[in-house]
Amino acid sequence: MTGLSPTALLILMTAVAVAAPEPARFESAALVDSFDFARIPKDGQYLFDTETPAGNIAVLDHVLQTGARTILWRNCGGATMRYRSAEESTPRVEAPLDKRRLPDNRPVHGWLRYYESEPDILRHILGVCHQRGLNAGVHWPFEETHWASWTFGAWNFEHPQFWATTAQGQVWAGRCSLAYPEVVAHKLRLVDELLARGMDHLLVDTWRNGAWGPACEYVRPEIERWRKRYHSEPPTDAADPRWCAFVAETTHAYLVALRRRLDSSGRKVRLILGVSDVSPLGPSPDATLLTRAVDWRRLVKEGVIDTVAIMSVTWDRARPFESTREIYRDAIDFCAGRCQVLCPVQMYDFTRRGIPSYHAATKLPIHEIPGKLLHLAWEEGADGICMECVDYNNYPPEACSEMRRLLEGPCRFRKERVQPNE
Amino acid sequence: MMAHDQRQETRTGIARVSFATLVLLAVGSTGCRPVASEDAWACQCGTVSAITSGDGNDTEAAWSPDGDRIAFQTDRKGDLDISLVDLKTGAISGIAEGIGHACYPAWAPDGALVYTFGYQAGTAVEAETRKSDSGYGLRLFKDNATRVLTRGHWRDYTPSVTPDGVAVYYASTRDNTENSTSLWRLPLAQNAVATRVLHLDGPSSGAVQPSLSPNGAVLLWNQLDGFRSNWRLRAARPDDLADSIPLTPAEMSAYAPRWSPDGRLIAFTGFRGGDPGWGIYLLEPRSGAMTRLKTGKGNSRSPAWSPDGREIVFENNRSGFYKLCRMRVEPRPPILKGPPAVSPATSRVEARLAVKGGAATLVNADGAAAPAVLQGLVTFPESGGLALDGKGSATFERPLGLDYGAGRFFVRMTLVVDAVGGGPRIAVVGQYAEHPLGWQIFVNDAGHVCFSSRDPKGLYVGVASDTPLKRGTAFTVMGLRDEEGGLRMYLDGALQAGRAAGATMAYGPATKVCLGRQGSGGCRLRGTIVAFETGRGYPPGMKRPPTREELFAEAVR
Repeated sequence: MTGLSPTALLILMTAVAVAAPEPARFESAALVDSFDFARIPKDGQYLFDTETPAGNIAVLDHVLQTGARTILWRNCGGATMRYRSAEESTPRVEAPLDKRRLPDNRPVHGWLRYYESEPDILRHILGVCHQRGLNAGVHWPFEETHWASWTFGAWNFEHPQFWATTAQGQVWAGRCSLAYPEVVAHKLRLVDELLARGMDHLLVDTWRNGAWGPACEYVRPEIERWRKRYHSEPPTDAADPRWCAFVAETTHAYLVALRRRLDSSGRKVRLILGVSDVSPLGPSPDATLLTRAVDWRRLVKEGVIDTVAIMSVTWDRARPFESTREIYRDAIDFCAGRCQVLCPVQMYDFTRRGIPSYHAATKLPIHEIPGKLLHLAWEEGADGICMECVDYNNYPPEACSEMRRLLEGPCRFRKERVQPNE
Repeated sequence: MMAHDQRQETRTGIARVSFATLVLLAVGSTGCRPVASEDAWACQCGTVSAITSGDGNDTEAAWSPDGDRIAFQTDRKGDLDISLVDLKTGAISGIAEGIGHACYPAWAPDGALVYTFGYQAGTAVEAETRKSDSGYGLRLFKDNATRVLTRGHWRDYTPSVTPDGVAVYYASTRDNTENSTSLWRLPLAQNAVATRVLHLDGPSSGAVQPSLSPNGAVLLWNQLDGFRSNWRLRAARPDDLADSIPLTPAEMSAYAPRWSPDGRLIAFTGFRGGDPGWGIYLLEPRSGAMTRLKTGKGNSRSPAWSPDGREIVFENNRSGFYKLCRMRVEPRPPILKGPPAVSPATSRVEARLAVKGGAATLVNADGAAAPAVLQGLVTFPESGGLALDGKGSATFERPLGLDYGAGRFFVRMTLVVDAVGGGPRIAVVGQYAEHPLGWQIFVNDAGHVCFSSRDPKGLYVGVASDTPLKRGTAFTVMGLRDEEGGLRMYLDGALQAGRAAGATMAYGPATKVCLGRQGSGGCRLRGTIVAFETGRGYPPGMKRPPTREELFAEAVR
């Protein structure tokens, strides 16, 4: 016995509790695209009318079944904003009113007009997230052109002089080049629109690049910059690591400008960078640098980003979870003390490394894999997970139950890392 | 000089000035920027003058047949309305106003206006649930009355009335399944039925803004053929739109084409690398020579000719809004010397499967036969061909004659497929040093037959059949890669709706042709390969499309 009276013991315990910092919650972030909920049929009706506030609240309620507390709502489909954007309003963004846009003909999907919905659906849903105490953010594709051309933006169509260009001189409406200050300014005005709608977290998703890459950056400012530096013509092979690193300087400058813009908003807004195809870190350039011209490791080192959201890792099919763990550990060690890390729980299988591929490699039931990946990320000391993407029931109910159990129980708080040098 | 060789052609009250007159008018003038490699172009442009002003965007101008008015769409009241501006007084009057979007006005020779109208009330879910008419349909405005021409839960737009006033061509999403548009034709007679004249479907392909040449011989439109492609102008005989010719280079974005009144020139909206923004281009279609008009600051788009061919109206946004402008043009395109050149036909079958006496050979264009290396269980049914059980295959090493370079080639097969699923099933693959899957015909997981080629970097470019194949039933598939890198496919002779572009890989000598599997051994076919042939140019029995010289000679004949 300590000999302390119960009162003294209570006072002591309270003092300890006040002095000790509250452990950080292990985060669960969900990428949500209301578009994916737009055509879920039931009994001859549709479950979610995503052009309405009620419909989006229903989407949110469904997403929360996964246990997510950070909601990153998609702000656009390609460059078509899913809110009332002044920056992307003219010429009219609706097909066929601009004849350069091929209409989306799919039922419901092809007739959505998120850019005209009242009230502004992004402002509304971010507000609902705030009211519920959730982290309210935006999932912003680095560039996204799902299809030519209904996802091409109005601003893009108005400014062909800034379009991406191949080494062969082919212009392409899929993206404007960040090498032009006007394009960066345009992007930053879009950020202002997101800030004005209450965004506190911004995930810039480099996986969704809309087929843009260093191959599209043979634009005048980049070519001139190359000539000035190297006194030669740029390599025509766009996969040349020198060219990719060179273009990455431009995207780096853009992301630094983006960081400054968020900081100048007067409130703390978290900048998350989504990177995919992450391999064991080594001296060679990684996939995001070579295919997206984004040097995420430099962004981490320079403190430009608050969080890295790993969207996928190139795990070894012979050792699925073991190799996944190694890559997580590698990335977490690299970022330790510099920025947070969210690890992937990816139902989408575009990279052939999502949950369906784990299932194929391990024969584990699909519904067991999300929880297993969540726990693995927690064990390795990640700051949380990032779920790409939460659609209607694509995370089975059993998987949601297990994730909620983990997030409310054993994985509620982030596991303290043992630093590699300790 | 104006009097020389001037002939007046009157049609439905329109005075048309011949091309020759325009050429004479332009002597000594070099007012427009010639495209560097085509310095034979010369064009004197007059001063740009504004027709409309104020707030709101005024776009999609169309000059009336009598030359006195211009119809256009305007968003100055919010949604789009159709208005007319009287060129003598400047007075603007509304034609189609109020709730909903009225757009894309097009004149008929008798002064009637065809336009698109759309109004979608409520949300997409509400529209889909009630299957309502919330799409975009065509309307005819004549004698102060409006007649609904088309309506449905789809989008009909960019109409043009044929020069004889009998029908309207337009783009439509009707019956398309993906993000695409086809071309349709509707006679203007009461109760007429619309027909689809060019079927394009797929995730990123479509045709927009069709218009018939003044003499009715050539249809012109703009088309998108793939995700990484640009809009390009295309033209074809109206009775054979499948064999269309691209008129603008792949490197350029080009749309909104309009015939000059004499059918010799095409004005369009274009952008190519180095341009300051969208501009008005003139194209001499037989030679392909282009020039960009000097229209001053801002984007200039959607040109339309005056009935006498001396002026162009277009929209320009230098004021902050797109407003209508007019400008005199005196174009002098390169003068073609001599009769149009016709490219010599270079079509021939380079390799053909021959099955005889329990042996398979590949017969080349000279008649020489090379034996197949058979693997697995391959049988030779009495009905002909090679029967493959899902493990068997036939391989031909280093077949001659398949070095297609960047030129046109075809692959044609008659197949019976017995199993689908479990990954793609390869019917044939041409293996090259440039890429081991150089070109292929295969069946995808969904049972669609696919034809693929490659871009210069080896990226896949492919098209698929409109519908899944019928297992156990013989069909003939023919894939065609053209000189422009475009792909299309015929199934039992029927052109499929999918298009792809950018397949410009230059093929050296083939290293292998595999029937029934990939070169690496996977993706095996279960079925029967009844016939196979490949060659350069067009396959036997397929009509060669006209050259651009032949086609556009018809446009002015």
